[in-house]
Amino acid sequence: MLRIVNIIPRTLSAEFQQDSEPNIAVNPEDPKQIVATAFTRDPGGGQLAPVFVSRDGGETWELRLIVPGGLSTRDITVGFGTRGGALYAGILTFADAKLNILRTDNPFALAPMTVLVERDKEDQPWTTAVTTGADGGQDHVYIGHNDRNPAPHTASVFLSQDARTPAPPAGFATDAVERRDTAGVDGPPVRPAAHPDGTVYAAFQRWVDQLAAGSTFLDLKVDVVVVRDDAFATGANPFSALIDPNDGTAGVRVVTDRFVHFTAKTGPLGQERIGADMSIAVDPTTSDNVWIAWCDRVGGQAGTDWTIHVRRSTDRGQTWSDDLRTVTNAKNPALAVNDRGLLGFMFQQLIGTGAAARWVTQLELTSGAFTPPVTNFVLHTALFSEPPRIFLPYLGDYIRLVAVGEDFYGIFSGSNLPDMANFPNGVTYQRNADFDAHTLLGTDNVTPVGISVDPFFVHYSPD
Amino acid sequence: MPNGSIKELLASSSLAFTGTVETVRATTVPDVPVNDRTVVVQVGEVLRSPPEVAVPSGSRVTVQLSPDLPPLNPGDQRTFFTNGWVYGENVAVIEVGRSSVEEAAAPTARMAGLEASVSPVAAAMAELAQDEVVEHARGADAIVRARVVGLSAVPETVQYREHDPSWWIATLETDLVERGELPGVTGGVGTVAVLYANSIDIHWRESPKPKAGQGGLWLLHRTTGELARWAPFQLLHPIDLQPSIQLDLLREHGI
Repeated sequence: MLRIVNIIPRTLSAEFQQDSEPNIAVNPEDPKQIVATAFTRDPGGGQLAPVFVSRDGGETWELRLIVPGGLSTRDITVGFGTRGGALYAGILTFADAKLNILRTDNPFALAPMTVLVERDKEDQPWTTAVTTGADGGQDHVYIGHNDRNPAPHTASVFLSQDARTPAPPAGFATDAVERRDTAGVDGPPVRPAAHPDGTVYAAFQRWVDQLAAGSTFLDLKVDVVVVRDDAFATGANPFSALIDPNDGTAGVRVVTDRFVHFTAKTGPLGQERIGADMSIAVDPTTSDNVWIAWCDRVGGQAGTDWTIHVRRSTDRGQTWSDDLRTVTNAKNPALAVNDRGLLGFMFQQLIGTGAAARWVTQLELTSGAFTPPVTNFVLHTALFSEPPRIFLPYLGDYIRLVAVGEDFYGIFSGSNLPDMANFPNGVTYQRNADFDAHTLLGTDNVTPVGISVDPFFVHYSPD
Repeated sequence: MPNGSIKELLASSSLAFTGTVETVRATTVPDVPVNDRTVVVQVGEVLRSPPEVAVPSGSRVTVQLSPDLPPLNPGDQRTFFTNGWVYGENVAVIEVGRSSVEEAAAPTARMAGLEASVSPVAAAMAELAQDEVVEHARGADAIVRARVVGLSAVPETVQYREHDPSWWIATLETDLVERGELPGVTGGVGTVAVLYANSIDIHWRESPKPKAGQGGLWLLHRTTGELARWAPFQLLHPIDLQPSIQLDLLREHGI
């Protein structure tokens, strides 16, 4: 079963914003409870930013104003504890771009989230959590972030071993997982992945050297690094379990000296910027198995590609396969593994050239490390040029895929043009739309509304 | 008069509408906790709403009434001043204040330049828009009438993060200086360099980005710290550029 839902509610049918960079969290205790986020604003321009919530497994969605820090956020990711129903969020506030770690014991209760941590000079928080304790009351929360405070070792993880009930800061402290010198900073994405047995991985881009720079780009030499902790990162020297045999430093370099073309201000790939794409996922059936995906430019400085690479380790990150999957002219890899060991790989690829190029969002499923057969679903396809970009990121610097039990839940952003040809596997809209006339309609179901970028929820359940 | 003037209520709310209470201790939105101040209101006339929120006349909205105001009963008609709370299949809002329908919606107010009367809400909204410009201008370090005659990137700009501002300099050719000391400008005529964030990253999407030849009334803010070496002034806010005609408004308010 595959279901795709446009999560903009009916009462916001008149909205026309660029709701890019989505994220998602599913309550493992009750997978009907789902929270999603995007660069969506409070339509009323107030002081609380929204989240999208669903109580019915993603079939219907509401927008609720519970995130403090301004009418929107500049980054936001969310994660449920695996038990207890608490939701955590890492955001950059709209008001001053400070990193906030937030908590609510019930995201459906309509009360604003509690600020646990506030910190300046930060970027791209990524939230994940796992719960332990006989009573299921101990939330271990890990938030990857690019922390410029300890520059040049900026790749970091905020962590708390018991975040659910204590007063702020609820035990949160940050640990710089970058142990090597860098070109001044690490790349924006720092992605943790936690297993219930206490294994915690984190993946990041080490910016090794700056090869060229201009007002619109950086050309970089980059390593992809994975660190690991075997005890929930409770020790005195967390994330030191993986030692690179080539330099004896904590953090195995999965690949080294890869070329990255970082374009924060321009959109060379279908109106979208490139330079920072990464995902990591640990197999719930065994923490020995861990998957990683990242992007780089295979063609080097003379190249024009932007390529996703997917690799796997079966020895807890010590050694890694060669590329098991590559996707050219693609970004936003999102990995998750279900409790059958089935890998889900979602990504967004620009297919075609010139004016006819299209963003194609796909979900692939493989139990054999991409040895055929691999199941591929085209979730969404749309002309890259429509709608015109309002800001960067156009679709997002990330999307997300999570697994709960056997099921996969994901979210991506794309053109909301109501055309079933853009949704080969179907879609449901809550907002008013005329799929025959390919026109969005306002709340009155009459007034046309221009197309824009919306977040789309995905649910795959193996039969 | 109720809990604050119409203007004050509008300043603290985003959605204002007339309506009739249908039921008390009821909700059209699941999860909204119901108490004796939770009411379902049938919308009469929408007086103000955000551009992306449409609450059609005749629709039903859940209103969490203010704890500082008297409760309402079925059949009561009011003008409700509210903020959004939940947007789903239906809308739930939180009341900021209320007035009688006549006090807010009847065409009893006058606006400059209009012969016909307008509602107090419409008049108050126009005043609020003007107030925003006036207050912003009071805090400006310089106010000039000028047009853009040059745009250039700040030298040595190298981006290390997707959220870097990407500083550019706009050269403004002035023909009037309403306020401020501007080096290079004599008798209101000259040029002044102004720093602005040219990045289209989401962090800077609201920041003004001057275009070649663009003219108007510019509200400038003195540049501080290291950035001051590039330009004495900065553009920071979406309303830093105003139509030149706003000069009259500012002068009326002693700016």
